[in-house]
Amino acid sequence: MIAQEPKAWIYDRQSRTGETPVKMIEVANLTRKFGDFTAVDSLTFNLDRGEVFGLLGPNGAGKTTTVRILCCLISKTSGSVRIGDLDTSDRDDAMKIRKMIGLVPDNVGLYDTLSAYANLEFYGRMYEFPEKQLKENIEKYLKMLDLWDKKDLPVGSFSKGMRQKVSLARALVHDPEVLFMDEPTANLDPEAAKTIRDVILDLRRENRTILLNTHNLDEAQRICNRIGVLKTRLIAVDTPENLAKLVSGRKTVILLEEMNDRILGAVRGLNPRSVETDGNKIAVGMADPDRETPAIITAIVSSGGKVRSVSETGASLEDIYLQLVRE
Amino acid sequence: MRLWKSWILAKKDLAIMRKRRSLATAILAFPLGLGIALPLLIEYIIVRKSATVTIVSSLLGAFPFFFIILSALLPLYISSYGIVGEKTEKSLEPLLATPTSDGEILMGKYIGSFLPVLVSIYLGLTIFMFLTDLLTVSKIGHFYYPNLGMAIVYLLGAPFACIYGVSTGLFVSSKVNNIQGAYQIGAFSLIPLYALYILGEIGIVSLSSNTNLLIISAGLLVAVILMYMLSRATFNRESILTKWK
Repeated sequence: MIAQEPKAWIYDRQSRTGETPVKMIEVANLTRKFGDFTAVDSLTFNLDRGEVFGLLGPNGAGKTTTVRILCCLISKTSGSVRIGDLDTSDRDDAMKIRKMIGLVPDNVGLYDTLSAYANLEFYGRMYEFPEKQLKENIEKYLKMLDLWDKKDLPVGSFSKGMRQKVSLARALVHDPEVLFMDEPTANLDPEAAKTIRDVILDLRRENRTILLNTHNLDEAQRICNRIGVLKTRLIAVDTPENLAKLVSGRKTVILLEEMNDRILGAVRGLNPRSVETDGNKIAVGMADPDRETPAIITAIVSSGGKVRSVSETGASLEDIYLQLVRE
Repeated sequence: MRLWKSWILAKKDLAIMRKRRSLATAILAFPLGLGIALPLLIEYIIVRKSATVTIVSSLLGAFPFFFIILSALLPLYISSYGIVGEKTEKSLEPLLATPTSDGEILMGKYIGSFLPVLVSIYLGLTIFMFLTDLLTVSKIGHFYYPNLGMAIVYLLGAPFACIYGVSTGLFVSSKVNNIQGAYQIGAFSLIPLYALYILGEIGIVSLSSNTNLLIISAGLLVAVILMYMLSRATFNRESILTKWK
């Protein structure tokens, strides 16, 4: 009953060893409208093989719609989407794409009356994965997620975290090259969330391509190579570090022995982005601290100030995200 | 269309059905109950009411029609569950994300609902025939069943009614969010069958006539084709994920 020629799967395995960056996901000017409402507007981004890309955005920003289009679940209004070298709008290609991707939806969507094993077995067969490898993979992922002992229990008796783990195992059971995860750690306890994050990091090491929708900024910062901030349109795409430079969130904090108006005036005279004081501490916001900090220190010393210490605080991803989304 | 893919889905639905006792009980209890109750009713009429051979024969001719109605009613419940159940468990999205065509998924739902009901209906009909023959042979003087009318019900009426119920259930369940609602709305689609039964009772239509049974079966076949086309048009992943309630 299992397909004799799982072409997309073979393609995945052969291509996984490539070292030069290979585009796995190419999205160009993707737009999706529902009547007059535009859910996703002119979205453009690419993912290389092995990259983990986080899509951040408020509710209703179009994250789930984007994932559904990329998974060939719904059509696009305009633009182009390619997964591997396949076009999502081509019917035959869409079938091959579905075979090479795994989806962790925002709702786990498991069959509660069936056991964890039966759920995974069913999906593995629907993905036309070879039977022998399917059994090996079910065992591998259930063990990896600490669920092997409970494999025969109905999923309906599982906790939320356990169900989410089964959902993750379901997305992995056919060994997909590309993974789409829609808020995989939402509402989980810290331990379950950590297990899932660890698995994602393992997958990253295995060179799998992952698109991760998340609200968890700390998680995105820890897991993702690059982050895209989405609010119907893609507001920004970059590494977490480079995103920090996009906003005026970096500050140099200088601790003085004594603060006075003369020192403050000297610092303000250099026209930094912002100046805040707190006792003997002065925090100076600047566009390029590497270049501007020496001039600030010189001004303070020239004004008779004595510097105890100098440190730098970067903007958190939360600061960056909030600023970008509000803008 | 790859039928083996539909079969995987149907097997999953059958496994869930086995685990849900109320569902499995409903599928078995009604046909088996009818298969036992109707012969006992006939026996009561013969013994207590001293019915004539003509009256008994007329009743025996009309009773199989109950099984046609039941063949349409039961799958309505199961197929409503098949889709609404997937919706309430939020399992439609991961299912639709698998490399399976809409037609294969729809066919899987058809098979998963059709098979258990038809098997159960055939069991009920067999018990009905056996018990009826046992209880009426002394009055009629010969075994009344099997006969041509029952063959039409077995081979045409019951299967077509069953597929009609499945199609209706699948179509209706795309419009509602709960199983009860789907079942109740779907039950309206059986009004023509109830009307036929009433017409039979008041003597306008003979439900024991083989010709009429053939015409009813043909009508059901046409309804099946129309409902399948409607289900097929409704069941595509785009509208399931963006328009279904």
